[in-house]
Amino acid sequence: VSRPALDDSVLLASVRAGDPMVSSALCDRLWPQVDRTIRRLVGRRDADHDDLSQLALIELVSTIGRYRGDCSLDTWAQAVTANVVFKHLRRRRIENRIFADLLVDDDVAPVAAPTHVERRSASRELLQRIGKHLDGMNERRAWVFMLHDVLGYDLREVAQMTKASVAATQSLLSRGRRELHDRIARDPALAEVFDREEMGRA
Amino acid sequence: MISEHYADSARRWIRRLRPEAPPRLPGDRRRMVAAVEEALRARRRRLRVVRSVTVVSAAAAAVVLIHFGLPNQPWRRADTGVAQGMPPAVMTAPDARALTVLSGAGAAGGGMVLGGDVPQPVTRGMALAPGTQLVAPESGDVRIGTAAGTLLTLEPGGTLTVTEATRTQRFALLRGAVRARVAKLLPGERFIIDSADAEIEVHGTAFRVALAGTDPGCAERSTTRVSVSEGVVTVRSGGHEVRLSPGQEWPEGCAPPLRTVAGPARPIRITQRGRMVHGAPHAGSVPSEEPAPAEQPLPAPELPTRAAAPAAPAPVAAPVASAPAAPGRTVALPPPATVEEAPVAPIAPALAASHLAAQNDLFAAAMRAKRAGRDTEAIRFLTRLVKRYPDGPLTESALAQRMKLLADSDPFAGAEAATQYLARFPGGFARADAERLVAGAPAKP
Repeated sequence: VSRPALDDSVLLASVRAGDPMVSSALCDRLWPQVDRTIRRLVGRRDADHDDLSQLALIELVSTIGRYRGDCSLDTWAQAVTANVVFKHLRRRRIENRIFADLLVDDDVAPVAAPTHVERRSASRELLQRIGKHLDGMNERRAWVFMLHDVLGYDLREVAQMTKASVAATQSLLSRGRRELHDRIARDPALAEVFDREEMGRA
Repeated sequence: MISEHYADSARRWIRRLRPEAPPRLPGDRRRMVAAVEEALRARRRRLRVVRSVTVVSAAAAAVVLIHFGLPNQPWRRADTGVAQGMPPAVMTAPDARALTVLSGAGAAGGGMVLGGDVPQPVTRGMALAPGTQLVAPESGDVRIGTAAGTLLTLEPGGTLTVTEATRTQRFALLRGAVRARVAKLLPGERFIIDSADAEIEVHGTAFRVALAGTDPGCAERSTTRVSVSEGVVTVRSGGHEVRLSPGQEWPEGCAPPLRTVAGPARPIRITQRGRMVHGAPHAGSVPSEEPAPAEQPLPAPELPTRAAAPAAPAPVAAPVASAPAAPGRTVALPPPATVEEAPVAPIAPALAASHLAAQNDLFAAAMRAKRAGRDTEAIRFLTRLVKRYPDGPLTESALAQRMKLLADSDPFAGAEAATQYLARFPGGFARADAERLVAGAPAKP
């Protein structure tokens, strides 16, 4: 027998009061956003996914008092989860391969090439090259570019996730785009692919 | 975007080649729910603590606001003396320092409150304004206290006057004895009990003041006796000021307070910033000392006390409630036993409720035994205190007292104890004594 889902306001009030009875409802309500954010930031097959989910949910409970309702509960859950992930990545990172690891996995879509294997291999190589350029950038700029331009979060959400002001986030985004452009411009192979694609579109 | 078209291309390629993965279910939902449940419980516990702290803070703020922010409220007149023709005892006083009768209301023969137009019997909850004189009945204590936590126990037959109840709380002990447990004072606050010939100011937490008969052998010729169990006490008398540390007494080497002293009542002057005061009376029916956790009954056979100790003070009466002792009476030594093995009289459970109280009790018992000439027993108490509470506030005093007592009977043992003291407290208050004992110790056989 499934229980009816609690209204957000009721759920929030119970969480604020520390009512352990709503633990299951809270997990069900916030899991999709937590899972989605983690998948987007660390990849779909990260070994720490479950641990990160748990940490994010605990952090959501601990910081529920700071949620003022000025954004949706989903957005707030994304921001808190992103903060947990960033902290985790800072601790875990041994070599600077965040974006290369993030962008390349088994589910890469194939690009145009003579054979299926070649296509998939070409896709991997392309993403790996982009990832390397992102890994070589200023980390905050790279993340803002990734979150905003690639993952589609708006500036305000990115600001919440990175704990920066919207203005600072906008500045980071502009500089990040410029930095990535300059890096790719200095990579003839990648630049050629992009130029060909641009001409094809034109 | 034109100037950064490679970045735009990168965005498009990433989006095209890396489609968003479908959502998935948690790997171990039960574990996750359990973790969230525990987090919620922790949050509830934290909220409770925060609420408690908030309530306490609000209460403290209210007290501060009432006391400092509303100086013109009618009840504040209590601070400036008996006013408005109103008997001081019936003035209401919500001040945290306002004195209230907590217990001691008796029927016939109960305590009385003087100072108003007519004497009034002591009643529970009665507020005591400056000018009030409190008289305890002959058969029981009267306890008064403040909301801040100060507690004074006026022992049977005692008379105490509230002379000031502002930031300086001042009392005059006219007769009898008073014990006090004073709440921590704020900066600028003082707690004073006056006697005739001494002013004692405490910069710590616990001490004891008593009155005794005039002792011809006492250099100070004072009838006030002060012994410090915790913190630092300043005694002002005859234009001199002496600071006492735990374990020290004033005047040094004088007889302890007697149970009965003839002669006219003389007020004592005591000043304290601490917790515990005990004053003994000059005249009339003098109450016993503070409740003794290890009060020793006088043994039937009388034996010479400290016969082997050449520097032993004059024998004094043991302050035992059930058996009045005349001055000059000697007190029997307990059966001989080693310091470590000898059984120690049990401590009353009520007084051993807290560690600090237990330490005070042990130290007080040791000092009583010392004053009564029962050195071995005093050493046992001190040893027990040091062993049980090696990091307690009285440890240094206990070690200092112990080394002195041991040195009286066994210079070698005294030197060992002094070495122990110096190792523990190389810059302690008894360092000079300890070094002297070590230097003067005989060679080890």
